[in-house]
Amino acid sequence: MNFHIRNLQDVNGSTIDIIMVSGVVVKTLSPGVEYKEIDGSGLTVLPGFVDLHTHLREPGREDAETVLTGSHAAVAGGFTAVSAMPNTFPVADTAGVVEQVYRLGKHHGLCDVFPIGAVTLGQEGKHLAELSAMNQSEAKVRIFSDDGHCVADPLVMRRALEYVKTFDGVIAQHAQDPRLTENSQMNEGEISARLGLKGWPAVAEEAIIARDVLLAEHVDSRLHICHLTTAGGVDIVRAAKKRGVKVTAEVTPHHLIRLTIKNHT
Amino acid sequence: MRHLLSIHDLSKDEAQEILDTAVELARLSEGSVKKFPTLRGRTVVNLFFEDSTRTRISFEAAAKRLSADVINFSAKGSSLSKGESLKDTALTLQAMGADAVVIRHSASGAPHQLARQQWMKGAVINAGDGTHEHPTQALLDAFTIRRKLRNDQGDLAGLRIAIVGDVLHSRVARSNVLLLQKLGAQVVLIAPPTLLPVGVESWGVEVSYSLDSVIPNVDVIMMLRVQRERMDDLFFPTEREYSRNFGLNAERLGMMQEHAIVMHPGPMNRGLEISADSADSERSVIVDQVANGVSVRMAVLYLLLGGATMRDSISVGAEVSS
Repeated sequence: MNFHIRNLQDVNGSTIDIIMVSGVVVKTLSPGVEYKEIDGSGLTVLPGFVDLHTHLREPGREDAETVLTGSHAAVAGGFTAVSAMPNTFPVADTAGVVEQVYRLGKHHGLCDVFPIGAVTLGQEGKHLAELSAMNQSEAKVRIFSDDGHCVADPLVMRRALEYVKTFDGVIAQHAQDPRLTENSQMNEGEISARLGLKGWPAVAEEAIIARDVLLAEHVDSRLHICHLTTAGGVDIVRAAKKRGVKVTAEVTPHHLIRLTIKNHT
Repeated sequence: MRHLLSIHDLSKDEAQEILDTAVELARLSEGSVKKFPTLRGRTVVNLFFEDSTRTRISFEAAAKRLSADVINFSAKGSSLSKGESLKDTALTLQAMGADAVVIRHSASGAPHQLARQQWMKGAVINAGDGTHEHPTQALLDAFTIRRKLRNDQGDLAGLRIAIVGDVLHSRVARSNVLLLQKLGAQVVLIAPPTLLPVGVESWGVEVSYSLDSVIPNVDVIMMLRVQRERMDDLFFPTEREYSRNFGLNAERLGMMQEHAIVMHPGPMNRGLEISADSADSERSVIVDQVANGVSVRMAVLYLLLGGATMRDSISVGAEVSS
């Protein structure tokens, strides 16, 4: 089926038409071709989104999600590329596992699936995984993360940041100091105090972000902060970016919207 | 030149003088007489605080071929293992009349300490200090390169030399970078970023993370030893991955220019940084390096101890300074 959608607005506010032939966007109408005309007035057209942080759970937790179901969800929401976190079973810490995930994505063909490799073997934070082997695999992995776990040991983090410079890679950090968050239940503050729940201090996240931007700066490598949740963390990233540190960060909708309730009774 | 503490202190002329003298000594050693009376009555002490086989034996052979008396002093089984300070050791050696001390120490800067503190009058020769320098290794490497690719003549201008591996912990690499550049060669360091020192950009060398892209365009490839104990410090994920990306093997050997040579300061980890067939290939000059080491160390001892006053005792063509 071919479409001619008129009067759309692009991200800059300009009015544009979109022409599609058999599912592919093309520049111009061709004579002799039939198009279904659609009025796009009041609608905005956006480029395909990229989700840097998804969990497709395959292999190992297919009951929760698979590359196929995740791909369906992605395209339904306008995402044309997703990065899949490596906390699967087995962990995506070898060329074999990342290639498996990459091939599943290709096989389903709904969106680009880019596996993220684990930084350390089994995401245990002790020994570097074969990062070069994952990079040289068919999946060409360039982002590495122990997401779900923090790369807490500063020496391991330093080495990982240095090592990925070989192929211009990025370390994506789950910033959470494990000692400061043992058995923690909620944001540490007035409410955790009143409820008697073990507090999770903002500093547990911010201390790791601060340490890692300094490490990235020292060894001149690339750092990404996963699901940043605190204003203090934003300040650290902002200041680092201003100095020219190669750091990026992401935030999730619930961390923007689901704030600590001020007037809890 | 009173001591040989680092390549850093050496001028290009002095370096070249050592190489020229070594050429002459090597030539003379090929004759029927292998021993010269030059350093008769002089005492050379090998003071080794760190295990070493080839460097110590090489210095011992060099001193003996020049007829010096050699005293081997190793940390094990001596007062050194009982915690005698470097100062006390030096005073002892001075009292015994050591004319030269060849020192190897695990602490960077130990030979400088020994020479600068005036605890003893003899010449100090650095045989490897920590992760700082190993000047005679660099000199014997330069000698070997010059012999193979420049017919023992002149400097190393126009040559492109790759040093591959654990640059961070390598005194061999540090001395070689300084010396090879002094002699006009262009140096490329190839290593994973974890094994390059922060600040390497100030060394005036090219740095690459890819052996495959550099290897077709070098005249010399010098492989550094990977110390297996470093694995605990996470410099690379596995030996397998290191070997895949930074190891010399038959395939990479085939990518080299026809005249290019392979070097290794030893001891080698065959199968890790260098495959057995690469180490034993026709390109390999690893055994020559060991042989040349004796000539180069003879030249250093000769120039430091023999000097101008002894120049007539053997016919050395090169200009000799005291």
